[in-house]
Amino acid sequence: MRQILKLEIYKALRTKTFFISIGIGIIISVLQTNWFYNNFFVENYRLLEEYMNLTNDDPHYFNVWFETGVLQGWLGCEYASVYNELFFLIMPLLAVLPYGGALYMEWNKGYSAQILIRCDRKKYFTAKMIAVFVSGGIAISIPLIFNFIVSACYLPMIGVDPLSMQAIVANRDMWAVLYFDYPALYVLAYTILDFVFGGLMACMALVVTHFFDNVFAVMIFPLLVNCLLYYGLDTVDSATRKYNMSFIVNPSQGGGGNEILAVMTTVFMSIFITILLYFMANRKRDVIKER
Amino acid sequence: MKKTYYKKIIILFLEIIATIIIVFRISYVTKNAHHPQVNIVSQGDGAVYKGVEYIITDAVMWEYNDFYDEYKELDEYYIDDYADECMMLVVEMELTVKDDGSGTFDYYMPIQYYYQDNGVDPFMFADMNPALIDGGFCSGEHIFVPYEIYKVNATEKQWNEIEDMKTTYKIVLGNYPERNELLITDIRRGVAE
Repeated sequence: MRQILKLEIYKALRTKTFFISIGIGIIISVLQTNWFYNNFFVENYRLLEEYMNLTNDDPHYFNVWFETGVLQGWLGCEYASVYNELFFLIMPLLAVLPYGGALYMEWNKGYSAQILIRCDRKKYFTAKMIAVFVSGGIAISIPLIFNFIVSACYLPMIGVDPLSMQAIVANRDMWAVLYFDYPALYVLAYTILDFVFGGLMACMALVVTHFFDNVFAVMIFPLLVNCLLYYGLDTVDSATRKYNMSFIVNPSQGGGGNEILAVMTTVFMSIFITILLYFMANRKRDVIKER
Repeated sequence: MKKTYYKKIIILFLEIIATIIIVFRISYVTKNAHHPQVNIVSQGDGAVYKGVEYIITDAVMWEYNDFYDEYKELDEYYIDDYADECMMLVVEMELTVKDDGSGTFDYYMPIQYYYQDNGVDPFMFADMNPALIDGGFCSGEHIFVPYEIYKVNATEKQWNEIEDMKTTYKIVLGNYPERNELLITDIRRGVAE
């Protein structure tokens, strides 16, 4: 098992599409940082310079200037520009790009047949799933971590002041304590959560590998599911939002705030269903195509 | 083989240097963040803000219905649906104009509790303090500041603490470069007569 797993992960983290996916994520991250720096940070410091020149008897001396914290500029929580929404909308695509179509390609080219005669079927499929999960998770996490490091190089590592009315997370939302007091831990917690969901989204492609005749359809499937959840299910019944994966992944919790129990339920149910469907779809599938 | 080995050493070395530079940069930026000078004022003590001294003399927490039974003149603000979803905190403050008498009263006095903040309803505030509107207010007199504390903004545990009056509130006056935080620690429960 270790051998096939090592091989699959080695392949997953060295595909061209893995680097393309990370590249796209980093481009979005850089554009977002540039936008925030020019539209928020520079303006905020221009105001500070104005206030620094005032004296105690000036009526504007006491004012409502707030230092911009790192979470306000982080891609995951910065909701003023389009980049947060863009990144989390195409998240399934970024996750599936590295290795999501590998099973389809290998199966149709006959590579899988060669592996299956040398290795146990269960081990092969398990290793494939783990490799897809890991590559999908890494493809999502790296742009978030990169953006956080870049943001921290010019924004202080302080929490958001509730009085600033710039906090995107409310008092009763999930991990509010981390958001307001320990921003680095908030980023870490959400990056781990997005790693898991990124991996799950990539694994969705594995589940439908044998139901489509086109690798494009396989790769686009998780994105379609995400759009269906975000625009479709939420419009029909917004009460399901706390269990809706497409809202849970966004650290800005713009869907009305996450709840830890609902998030954990969604995570475990998603993992269970994905694994179940994946193994059911591949349990007895023959490598030799029927004529 | 040797070339690859040296290449790896150089890359590792550069990675370590880059990490050290980034860590130092992040530390520098965080250390040099612009923080206000915070003046924490206990209940009963005064804070001077824009030439006016503010002293919290009393704080009363009311059940929503009891508040409107007590303040019947504020009936127009009553909303049926809020009966079990809202508590009313009324803070009594003494205002004294300091220095040369040119102080400015600022009614923007947000209250902060947990990670939540509330402003003051300006219309309710005006109705509770008519002297401020009609020009009859004198330095040294008291004002009454109403705050609506909503259940929807608090977790279940926090709401229980609010109802049991175990929550510490603070009224924030100004934010930068000086921030005055007037703590409200001694709250009594209001009972309608």
